Amino acid sequence: MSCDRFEIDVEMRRHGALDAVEERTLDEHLAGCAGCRLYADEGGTVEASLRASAEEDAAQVDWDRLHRGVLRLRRSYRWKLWLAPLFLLQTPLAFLLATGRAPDPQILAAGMVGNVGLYLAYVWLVNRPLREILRGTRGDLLESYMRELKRQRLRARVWVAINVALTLGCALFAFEQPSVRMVLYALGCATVFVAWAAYDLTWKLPRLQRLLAEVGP
Amino acid sequence: MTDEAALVRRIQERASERDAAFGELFAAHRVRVFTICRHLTRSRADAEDATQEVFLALLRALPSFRGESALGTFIHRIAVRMAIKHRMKSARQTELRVEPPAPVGAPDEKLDQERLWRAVEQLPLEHRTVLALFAVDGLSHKEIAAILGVPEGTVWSRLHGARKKLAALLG
Repeated sequence: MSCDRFEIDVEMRRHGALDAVEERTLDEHLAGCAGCRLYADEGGTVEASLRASAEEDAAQVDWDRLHRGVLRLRRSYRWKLWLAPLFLLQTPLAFLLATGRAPDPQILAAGMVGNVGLYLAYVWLVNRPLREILRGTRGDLLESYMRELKRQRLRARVWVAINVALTLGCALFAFEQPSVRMVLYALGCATVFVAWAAYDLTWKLPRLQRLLAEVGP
Repeated sequence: MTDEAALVRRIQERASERDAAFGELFAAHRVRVFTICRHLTRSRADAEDATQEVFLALLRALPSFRGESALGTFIHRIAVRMAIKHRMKSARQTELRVEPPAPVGAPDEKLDQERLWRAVEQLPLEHRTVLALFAVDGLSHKEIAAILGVPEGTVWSRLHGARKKLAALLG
């Protein structure tokens, strides 16, 4: 049997996986092989050292913050699941309000695709960077998140501008006879979008920025 | 029914007790999950993020958990996957300095630990994963084989390979 095989046996003995006969064979080999003896002597310190370091790190973790973070992420995940169907319902609702009848299938399909596009644009432009920022971070990551935060402000403003223009554009030009109700509905949607983005920009992001600064490098 | 099975059933079936039951699950497994994540990611902050993602993934996966493996094995398997995923993602996003875990002991020991940690960082992922799992307190080789989905012999040969490479890296 080669020394490699005996070295594997050394590992197995260290973790209690050798039977008595195998242990005896290993001891006989170790008695006559300096290389394997050295291997056996140096072995277990690596795991012990790694374990001690990780335990030291674990002792510094704020477990309550981590626990709250998991629950918060779960709530945000559930909320997003409900948001997608709501975006889909927006088109038939708008048409019903504007015309008082069910929408033409082509308009319905085009509107739904458009709304899904807007939803995905929101996820990409605003929500994804926000989620990155919401993760518990500090140290080396802080600087990169601060940069991301600045980019996020710009993206959010671009998103609001695109969204308001699209919503108003749809209200004014997509229908042959734009009604007052339709314009009011579009303005209502635009107001919700603007309020949503304003909340992110004026309250949520600055608060996160302060929290990140407090955590500090 | 074991305590763990009862805990899982509380999470799966009773919405009113879900948060409390999850709190107990979190408290029971958090240190082991964090230790795995710490050994497989680049910094403590990354390990904390990965730990959160592990428990979030666990919350999503528990409704379909049928008890075919032990709950601990199930959780540690998720931990290994999420930690590796997180490590790859963070490597794509930004080139970060590798932060060794907080060194313990005297100054000379601290230097040795930093050196050891940097050598571990250079190991191939499969070797590093096995080493990380053996460094988690109380995990047996059988559990490690179940977590990684490989035969027990492969676990031993990977541990041996890791040790040999580490010895070569440390000179």
